[in-house]
Amino acid sequence: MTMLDVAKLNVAYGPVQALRDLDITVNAGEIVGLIGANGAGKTSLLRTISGLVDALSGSIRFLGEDIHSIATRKIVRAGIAHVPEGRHVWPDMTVEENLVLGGVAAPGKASTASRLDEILASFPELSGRLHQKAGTLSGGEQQMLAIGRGLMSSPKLLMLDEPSLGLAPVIVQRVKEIIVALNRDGLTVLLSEQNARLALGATHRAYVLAEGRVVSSGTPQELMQKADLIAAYLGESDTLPETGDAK
Amino acid sequence: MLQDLASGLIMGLAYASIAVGLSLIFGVLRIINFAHGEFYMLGGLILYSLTNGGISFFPALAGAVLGTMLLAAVIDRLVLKPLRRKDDATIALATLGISIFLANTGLVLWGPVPHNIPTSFSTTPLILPGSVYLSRFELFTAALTLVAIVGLHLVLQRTSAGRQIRAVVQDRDAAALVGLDVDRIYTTTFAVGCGLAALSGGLLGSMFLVYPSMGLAAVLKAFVVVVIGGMGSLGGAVAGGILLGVTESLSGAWMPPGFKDIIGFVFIILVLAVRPQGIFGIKQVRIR
Repeated sequence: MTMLDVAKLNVAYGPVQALRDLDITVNAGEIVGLIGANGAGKTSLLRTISGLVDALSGSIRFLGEDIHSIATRKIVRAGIAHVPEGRHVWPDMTVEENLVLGGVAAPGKASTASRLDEILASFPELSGRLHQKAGTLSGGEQQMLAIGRGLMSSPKLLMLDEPSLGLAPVIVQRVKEIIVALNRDGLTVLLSEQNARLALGATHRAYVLAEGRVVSSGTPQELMQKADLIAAYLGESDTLPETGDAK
Repeated sequence: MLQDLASGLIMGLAYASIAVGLSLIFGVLRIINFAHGEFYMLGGLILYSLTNGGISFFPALAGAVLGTMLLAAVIDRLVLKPLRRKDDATIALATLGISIFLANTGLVLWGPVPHNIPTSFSTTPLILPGSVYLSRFELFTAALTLVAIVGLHLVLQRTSAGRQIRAVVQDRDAAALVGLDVDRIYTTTFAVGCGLAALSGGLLGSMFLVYPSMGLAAVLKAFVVVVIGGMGSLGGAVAGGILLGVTESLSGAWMPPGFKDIIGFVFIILVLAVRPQGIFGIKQVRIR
């Protein structure tokens, strides 16, 4: 079943076109990757899906509903959680305050307290730090908090923008495990990554973006056949996983 | 000396409450509200009309503050909301437009002549230790202003609505992405900030006089205070307000009164030269 369907999407910041006739789909139960260098349009795509940026034209459908140009808070309530690039936790609020505020859009059936308990069970690194200011956490802990805060709204689709940015390899591995575990529990994930090792290692399918367009797509195995092409788009040569690393 | 200190504290608290509103609006909406002085003026003039119409002082003061808040909310929805995604200069010009519109509306409705607001307070001054003379109304002004500022602080720290406001201050995108109604938070904050200005306008207006152009001097003081204390910092606005009020008052002993208004600007120059983010300001103000 198609969960998210983005078609012919065009986005521009003044004279600068960020997305050009972009099409992607995400099916329920998938982990879909968006790979591309800085400025390829990954962040613009996620911000447009979330309603933080208005599209010039095109359509965005989520679970059959048109969510193009509706308010971000309604998109969150429809079931999309967006964990932005750079984590964006509220630095002067405690970990607990961050998480509780993350639950304001949660549907009534699960109370905030029980959501909080579930999330602390998945992120044990946060449970000892509930009353600590979020700004004092390490980068990896902030990333866990940002993901946990996103999960507080009980989303159907989790969009992660560059979760590995600036993190040590061991933490990147932990992020990957979390994504895979969340997906196993039924969550659909759209993962934007410059780190192709993570993007191809954790996903079922991926799109390669360059200059606001999809230039290639397929399963990790298919994309790895075109390793040179991806490396050229990423502008790096050593970020691809060795064969066999993918699922 | 003690007398000057006490009068300075009272003026300082009033400056602080105007500046706290300005600073709160800056912190949440990321706009400089050039119309802030006009909401201060409206607080004073609406209070004048209500008391003049036979309503007693306290309900009239509440009416002036609530009326100004309602007007501020309407103005935010009609004028500022459509401009949310425009650049800072556009929005600053819009608030300047609101300022001119309100000042002239005040002139049409109330005329240029200053009015006096009668209060129900006894005019016999209280004599405090150290032979400090303060009027009962001055003490009431200080107490009510303090209650308003502390109350705002508690609401921001302890309530869910306050947490939502702080979330917008610290990271607007993150606030939107967890599903907070950022637009409603903007409107509420704008109304509360303008309401604090209206409260000061009513209180100071009752101490002195009210007239349509009274907002200009007030907003200049508030800008000085906010620059000293640091944009977006409520504690800074309080400290800056008291610092300015007390220094101005003490300066009376060794400076001609006409020079009093220079002090604020000397402060601005010193602060901007030494610590441009203000004494309590956030170092990097993210404007986006």
